[in-house]
Amino acid sequence: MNLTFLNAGFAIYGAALAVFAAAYLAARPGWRPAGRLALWAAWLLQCAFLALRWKEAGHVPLSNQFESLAAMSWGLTGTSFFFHRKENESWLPPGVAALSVVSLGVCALLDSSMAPLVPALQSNWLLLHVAVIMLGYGALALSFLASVLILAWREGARPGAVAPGAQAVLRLPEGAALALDRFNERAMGLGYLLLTAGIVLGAVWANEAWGSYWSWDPKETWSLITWLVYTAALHLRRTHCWQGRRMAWLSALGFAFVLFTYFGVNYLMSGLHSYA
Amino acid sequence: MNRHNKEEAASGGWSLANLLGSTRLLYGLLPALIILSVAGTLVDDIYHSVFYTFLPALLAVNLGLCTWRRRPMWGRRPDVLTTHAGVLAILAGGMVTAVTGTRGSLPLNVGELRDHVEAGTGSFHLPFGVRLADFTIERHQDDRHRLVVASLADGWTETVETTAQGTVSLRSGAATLKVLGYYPDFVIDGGKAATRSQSPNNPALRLEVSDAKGKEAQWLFAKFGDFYAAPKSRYKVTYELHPGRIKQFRSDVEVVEGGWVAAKASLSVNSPLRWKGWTLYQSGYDPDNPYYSSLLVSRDPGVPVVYAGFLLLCVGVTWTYLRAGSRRPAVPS
Repeated sequence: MNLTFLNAGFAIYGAALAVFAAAYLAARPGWRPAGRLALWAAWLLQCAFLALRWKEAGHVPLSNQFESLAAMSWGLTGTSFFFHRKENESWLPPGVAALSVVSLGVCALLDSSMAPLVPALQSNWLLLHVAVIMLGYGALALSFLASVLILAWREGARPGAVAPGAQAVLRLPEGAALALDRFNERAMGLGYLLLTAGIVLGAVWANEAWGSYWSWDPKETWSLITWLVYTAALHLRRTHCWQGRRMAWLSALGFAFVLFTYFGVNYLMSGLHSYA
Repeated sequence: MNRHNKEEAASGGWSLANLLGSTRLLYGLLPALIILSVAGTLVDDIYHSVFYTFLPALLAVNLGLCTWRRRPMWGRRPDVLTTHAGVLAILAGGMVTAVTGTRGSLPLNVGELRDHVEAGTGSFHLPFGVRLADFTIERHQDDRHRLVVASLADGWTETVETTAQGTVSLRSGAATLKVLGYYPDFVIDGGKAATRSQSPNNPALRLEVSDAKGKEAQWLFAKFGDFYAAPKSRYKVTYELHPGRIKQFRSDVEVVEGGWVAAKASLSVNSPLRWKGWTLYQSGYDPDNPYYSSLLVSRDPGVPVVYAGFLLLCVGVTWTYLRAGSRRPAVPS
């Protein structure tokens, strides 16, 4: 399988990150549109890669960790475009470029070979279940990104105090912490919605394939644990008005559970999802 | 003190009902469930323990009471009511599954009719019989026939791969190997070599080895390397068959009621058979016995309740997300 499109996308995400970093350090906000354009170009290359791999493999490219991570990275950038259109968060494009470089960098370490689908995966549920979960992970990664910025933000600091040129480049207005907090909730809410739907779709598929909607398989269990963590976080947010740094810590904790569910379970535990 | 704490304080202090219906209990239960669930991935059989079963039951009571006590809010927050109803239905359905669900294994050989299902340490009878009419294993077309060629005269060894009808030359150029015939399930039939089936039960190759000194034919058996040795051969060839990955395994079954075939179906993974409240799943096979298939039989009245809960939960969570998006809190400009 030719990885040219994916590698080119990786390089352009890196270039976008460099442009954003240069704009920040040199206090040249006029360079930022070039970075955003690069993000779009890299995302379109990812679209081409996934479409070609789907055609070549004869099945949706979500059958192993390499493919699902490439799809998650694609979903993360796509979701960020959705949020960027609505919220116009200036920190979002550089953050997404950084996350994409990291996720595609990890992709490069994984086995990219194509293999025929095992019988359990030969189902349309594969597309529904894995794609929804990966989009959910993408949205939760955006929530994590916002939480990192909230936690990095010094209480009471004005945007310009973060670094020279920060106010000009990031264009963080007064109340940026509130906007970040709101974004954290929105991204977490979307991620939670998709995670819920993904777990439900997986349970229905499991009942069709294995005769039980819940088997306490490690992947299932850790997905439930992650869901419980985000349930507690959103409940505290919506009924007890948790916000700011406390919510950011919960978001970071939730994302740590996402990472363990996605990577840790695959490498440390065996179960019905061992092919994932 | 926020709104919820005020409501809880105003509703009568620390009676048992107040405690059971409080968000304080919820915030105690959620970490407990998380910690025990994590422990369960490290310690066997924790999820079926009485203690672990108690926690979701307590969560259901807590959620039910909490939702009931907030009846005045149902009209204002139907999304929350729907979400909570979904979780309650899932927990109730899980309980129905645990109490009334029945499942077991139905091992069958081709031609065999059974209604006796093995379930853990016990067993039960189905109200109908199941006959395995046929069982097939489909493989991806990448079986690998590996030949290890040793020259008895010169002492060298070389390994090559070929196909079922292939001809391959050794890299050294010393000899060429031609497959004259492939018999996946070798038998002698009427004094001639034949294959009983396409399943690789007794894979055999008829191989021709040619070199500068001439040609010689050998029989090679993957499972019986030394069964047939060509006495005057210049080469000792060992045959290994590496079957292709399993594409699908399929059981053709007949449901028998009162001595008559009431239904026929082809079962495979992701394609079960539902019959009179029972579901039959393709669950396993024996790589060394192509005539054996293992089915899983299940009857779970909890599934419709759980599915209703899934639907309510998804609708409720989506509704809450859309509501949260429609109200835009004021952000200082």
